[in-house]
Amino acid sequence: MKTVFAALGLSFGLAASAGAQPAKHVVLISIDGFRPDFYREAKWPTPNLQRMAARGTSADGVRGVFPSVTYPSHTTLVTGVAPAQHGIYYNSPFEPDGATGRWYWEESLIKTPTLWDAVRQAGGKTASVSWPVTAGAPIDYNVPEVWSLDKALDRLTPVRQQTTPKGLFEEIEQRATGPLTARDMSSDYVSGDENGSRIAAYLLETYKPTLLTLHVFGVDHAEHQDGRDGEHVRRALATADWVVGNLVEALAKAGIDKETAVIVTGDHGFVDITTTLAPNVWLAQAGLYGAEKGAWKAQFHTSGAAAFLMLKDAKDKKTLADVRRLLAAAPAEQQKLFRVVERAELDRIGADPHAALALAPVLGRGHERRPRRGPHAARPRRHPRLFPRQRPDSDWVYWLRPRLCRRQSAGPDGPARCGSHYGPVAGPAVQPLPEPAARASGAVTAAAPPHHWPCAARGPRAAQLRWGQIAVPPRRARVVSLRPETNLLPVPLLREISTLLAKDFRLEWRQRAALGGLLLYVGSTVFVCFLSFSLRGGQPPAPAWNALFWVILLFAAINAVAKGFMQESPGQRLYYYTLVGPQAIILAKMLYNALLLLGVGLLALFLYTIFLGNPIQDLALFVANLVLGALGFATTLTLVSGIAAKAGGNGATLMAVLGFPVMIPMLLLLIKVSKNALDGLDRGVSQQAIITLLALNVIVAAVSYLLFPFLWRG
Amino acid sequence: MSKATLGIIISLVSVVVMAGGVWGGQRLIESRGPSVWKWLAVVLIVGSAIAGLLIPVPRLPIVNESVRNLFFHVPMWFGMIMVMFVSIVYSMQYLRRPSARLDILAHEAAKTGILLGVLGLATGSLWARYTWGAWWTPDPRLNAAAVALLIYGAYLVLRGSFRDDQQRARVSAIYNIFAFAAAIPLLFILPRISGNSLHPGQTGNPGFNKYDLDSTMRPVFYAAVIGWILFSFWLTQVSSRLTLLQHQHDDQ
Repeated sequence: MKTVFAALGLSFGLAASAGAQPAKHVVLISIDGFRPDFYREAKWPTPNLQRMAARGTSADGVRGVFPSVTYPSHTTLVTGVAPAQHGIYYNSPFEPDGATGRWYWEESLIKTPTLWDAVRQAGGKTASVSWPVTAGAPIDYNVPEVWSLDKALDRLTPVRQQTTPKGLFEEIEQRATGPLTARDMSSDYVSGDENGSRIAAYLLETYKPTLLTLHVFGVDHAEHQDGRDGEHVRRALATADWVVGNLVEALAKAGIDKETAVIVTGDHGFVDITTTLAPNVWLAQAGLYGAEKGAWKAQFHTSGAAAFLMLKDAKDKKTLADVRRLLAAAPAEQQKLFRVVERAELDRIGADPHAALALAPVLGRGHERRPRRGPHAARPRRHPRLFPRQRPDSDWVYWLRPRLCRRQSAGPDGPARCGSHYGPVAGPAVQPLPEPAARASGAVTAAAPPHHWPCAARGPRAAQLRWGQIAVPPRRARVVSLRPETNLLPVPLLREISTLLAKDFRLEWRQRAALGGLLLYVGSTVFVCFLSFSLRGGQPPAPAWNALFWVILLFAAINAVAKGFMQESPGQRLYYYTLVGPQAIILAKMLYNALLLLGVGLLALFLYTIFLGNPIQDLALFVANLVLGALGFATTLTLVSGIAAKAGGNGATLMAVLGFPVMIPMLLLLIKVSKNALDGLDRGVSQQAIITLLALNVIVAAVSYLLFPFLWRG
Repeated sequence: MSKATLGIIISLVSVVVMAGGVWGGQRLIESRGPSVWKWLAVVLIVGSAIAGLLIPVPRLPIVNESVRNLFFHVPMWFGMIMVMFVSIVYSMQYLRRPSARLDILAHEAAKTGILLGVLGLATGSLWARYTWGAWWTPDPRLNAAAVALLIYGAYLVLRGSFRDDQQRARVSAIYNIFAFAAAIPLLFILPRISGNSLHPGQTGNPGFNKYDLDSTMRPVFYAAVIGWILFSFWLTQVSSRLTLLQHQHDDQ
């Protein structure tokens, strides 16, 4: 069971020290249940990880998916998209007629291209060890994570059968690990991870794959048992650390350590719990959910600490209303345990599109703290950035369980799960958990509601790789604290906008050559005009002066705005997507472009005045009109450039083709007003045109604001 | 009743008629089998063409017999505007609930609009040649029409520059809505505020109401408008059905 995705992305480029050349190989290691304190705090037995964090790039957290459990998280790592797109919504699929205990094992269930596909397309070789959702995957050397529903079958046999190519598992046993049994690959013993590491190291040394993915599962299992800290956790963590060290060593032995990027990440964190909530009990009490097969109208599918409401008939508004009433009717102290995540928010965070709504656990402030005791006395202090689990004094004190039922072990890392789907639906909806030891077997997850993810950085490492740009991560990690979109309050939006604006200015400054090119473009155009007119001797007539000025500005605007979206790679865009809402991006971009164009416009006016004279009689009106023009060009062209960037290829030409017709009306108005300013006409004459311009800017900005999320989503 | 109130009432009525037309148009385009409305379109267009050429018309200076073009030129623009609206609505529906079908419908409706727009431009140009003495004048209304066609030309170019079907459908739907919202309303407003148009229906110029005052012209004109609008829906239906079948064929 897994939760807060990627408790951290710790990435380490061995080649980084050698400079920023692109890596030829990537080793992606996910440590299930990994947390930043594991490499931030010296007290943990992780010498390899701490050294890597110090020398490479590291982060204090990343944004997760919802629910933040192992399979969706791992799939997001290798696809770069949210569960709604890749189709692995939970660990185990929702089965309306009763959970069989199956998980999302098969790679064919992933609906989007994966890293493995991308590497294969680029002509590289891939390898994978125990990575979730890899049964039958198009991976060159694949030891999948899979098990059977048949209880008579041991855990290793399905793995042995589905390892590809045929004979690879026997080759590994013969040359790397010795004969393996189910016990040797079990998460009950730390040797499970050790053997996984040996297999991965063998594959690295023998086949030198372009991409190797390895899933380390022992730490998760230990944290499920012990809580956030404990003797088993430390042993498992020490093993995980050794796993990483062993692979780094294997790279050195294979002679590819200088050209390999090693990425260590997690899929979720842990939090301690004291109370459980079984929302299906409410449904059963209200007659919406019965014990017999098919006798239900609504039921919650639980995953991690979250529960997703499934309606038998998706359009059954009445049942949905009934469930809402039930949730609203729960006693206040139970209501404090969860938060209803509405469909709109689920869409935004990319959760299962079939759920009508979801329940997410809520910080349990105000609850009695339990005294620390026993082996749990020495717990790590609360890490404010994470959603760790299993601490009796933590803020996260609840989990959602499907219903009261007998527990049975399932899953690769063996958390207790409800195996009998149609078990008795009875008992209280809310139960305090007994003592820590018993609690430990609970499937405790902290599915954080998205606006509680306070920090995001280095998130789309996997996403960037997906686009084939296997690059050594930058040396210096900048942790950007941005709140993702959730509420309508403009304050976080404003903060996002200002951050993005700062980013754009910084980018512009870093790419001074492009800015210089733009300014030179304006300057040389004006100069060419000057030369052409000087042939005829003297200044152009006012109408020509005016028309030329706007034509120059129009083309400069196309060039300036075209840089915006097109100079960013798809990977970068995906990165921003994980950090901020699309509305913030489009607003910031429009604002930035408006400022840029205003600067260009003023510069053009200045140069124009020098070379071609200044016949303007009403300068104030002219400049005001220039401001309106900059705004109008920016609002119109920003979305158009986004569209053109999507089309790829001949972006600048396409932008002109798409943008000019839309801008002609605006341009006509602008030319008219500036002609009035040139002739020094009474301002009342221009009033109507100015109002129309303003209205047009508002309309265009509003339409862009509404449409951009659709564009961005692709 | 003051002129302003009358203007507001007329605007409201035309919005309602427009919405109803778009709604009805979508129903007709998506309807199946032989329908009365197609026969109606044939009868109305052929009838209005014959009647338009034969009925007596008021003799107006300059315009003379060319006033009969009213039965062809204006209904084509009406048809274009209506079918463009239908295209926009399909694009909006696509963004809400993406499907290849809605994309095809939006695309084919836009293509029908372009065809009618070109026809309208051609008939208008012809008319201008014999009344104003030039094939094309820098008239705001004419420019507006040209810009509208440029936008839809850009729409087609945009569609052509994608290889991925879903990407093409989504982005072109976005451009369709954006271009419409950004440019089309202004094309109605701009000629009015620029105020120096030769085109009938503008400030200082008589609208076709003046010709319409002749009660013999009015029914023929209305019949032609309805006929051409129905024809545009019919054309959209046929072409989108063909494209859908081609898609199904390709899939097999």
